[in-house]
Amino acid sequence: MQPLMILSLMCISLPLMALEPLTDTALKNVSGQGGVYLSGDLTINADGGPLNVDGPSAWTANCDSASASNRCGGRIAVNTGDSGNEGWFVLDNIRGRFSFEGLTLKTRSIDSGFSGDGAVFDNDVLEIGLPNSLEYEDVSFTVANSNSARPTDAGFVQTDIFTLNINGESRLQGNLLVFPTGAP
Amino acid sequence: MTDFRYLSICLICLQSSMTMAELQAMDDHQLSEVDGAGIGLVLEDFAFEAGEDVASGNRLDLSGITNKDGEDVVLSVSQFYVAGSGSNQGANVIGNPVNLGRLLYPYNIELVDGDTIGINDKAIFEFSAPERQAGSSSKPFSLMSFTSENRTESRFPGEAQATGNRIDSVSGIDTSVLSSRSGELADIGIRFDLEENSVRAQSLEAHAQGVAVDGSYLRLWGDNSEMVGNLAVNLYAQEITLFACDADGNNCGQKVRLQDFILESELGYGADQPVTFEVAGDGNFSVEIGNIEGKSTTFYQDYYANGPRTDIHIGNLSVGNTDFGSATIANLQIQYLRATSRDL
Repeated sequence: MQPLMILSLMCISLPLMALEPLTDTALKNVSGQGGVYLSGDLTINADGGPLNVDGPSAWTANCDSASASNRCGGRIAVNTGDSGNEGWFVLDNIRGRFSFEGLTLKTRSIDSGFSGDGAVFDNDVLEIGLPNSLEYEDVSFTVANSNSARPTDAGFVQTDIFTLNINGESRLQGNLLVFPTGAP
Repeated sequence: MTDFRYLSICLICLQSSMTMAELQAMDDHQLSEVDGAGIGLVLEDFAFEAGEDVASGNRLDLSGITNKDGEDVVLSVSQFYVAGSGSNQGANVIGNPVNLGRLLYPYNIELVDGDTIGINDKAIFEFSAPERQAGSSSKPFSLMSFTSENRTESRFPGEAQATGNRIDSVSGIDTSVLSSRSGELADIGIRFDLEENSVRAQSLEAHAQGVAVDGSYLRLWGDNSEMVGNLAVNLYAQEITLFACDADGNNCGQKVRLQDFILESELGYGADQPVTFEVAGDGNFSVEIGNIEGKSTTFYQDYYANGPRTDIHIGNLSVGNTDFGSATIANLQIQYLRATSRDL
């Protein structure tokens, strides 16, 4: 029985070793080193997604890059109310490939600059350095309204509003600064 | 030993009792007491350019439109940019950045206590652009200096009268209400190529210089399991230029220029007149600005004096070399609006 008791006592003592929050003054002395540099390559449903390969026959279609079949891309449907008669906002046929190089993440202390705002602000921010270029390859999606969540539902009706196709490169520069506002 | 066993069991029971408090859902009233700190967003030294250099395959195409003969029309964006002032209609973008938002007046995402903005017992999700300063205008936070008059009138013959301040004319522009300083106004532009039946027909360009959206916000909350909101669109552009060219972007026509363009529009009035976005069961989309029919006289008087309204002002409109002078639409109050899409 003794081991059981010792185990119990140990469990009780655990909360006594709780983490202590750092005070604002102590936190100010913490200085993060460096940051993170990210490159990414993201492909969404290029060939119709995994269900197109081994899913039920209702989900399979010819999904090469020239295909405009609505079965190939991802679909996000949002219901606009709680009654049975409400329809769905749809982002349909989401597919394509994005890639970026040089997204950086780091913390930064700002106490000067910004045409005088920096000295008044005197605080830390999360700095997201935007990549210099974002490349798209056959990225597309369709904005639509529909009467049901899935194209396989009975009596399915959908009105496509417009389709956006993006190819090539967009160029960016700058940083996105993120910080808390107000009085928590 | 038996005593130890009981003691152990007691101790284990004591520990487990600490985990018995289950999570409880918060109701609207409790949620409305939440006033969390927001998240501020600032874009520092920002510039963006997309679709430029169509010849090397950079394309951003909007399709799904047809002309009267049923042929497909593709709107192809051959350039979209956001840059600092002096972008020279999109020629000087990367390397010519702008700060969007200030550290002291950032773009802000916040959960607001509805009681503080007149939407009782609700927690409001708010996304807001940099705030505006009070300014000197008779309409608070307005860029436009008005000459106005106090009017007492009834909206329909025989109906109750209401009193409120109404605009006669716009006498000047007070840019001190903007928290974005003059160097923080952006240049934004878009160049469309219009492709009909796979033939590139025309190029349309729109460029806005010195743009600020200070004072705009989107507020969303739930009401009877439905998402409703209020929206304010405040747009200031020092100059907007529109023109059309041939398919190669040459031989451009006369320019239409709108100088000192100001749009100040509020849609919805708290919970009394919410804006709803919904899709009906037949797949059509509708936007509704709530009906204020059947409310009290006190409400109408308040709505008339302080309710949401839209004012639009163009300092000078010119086509080619001809000036048309200024134009103002003021005191526009939307008392009910419902727009529904129809599939053709």
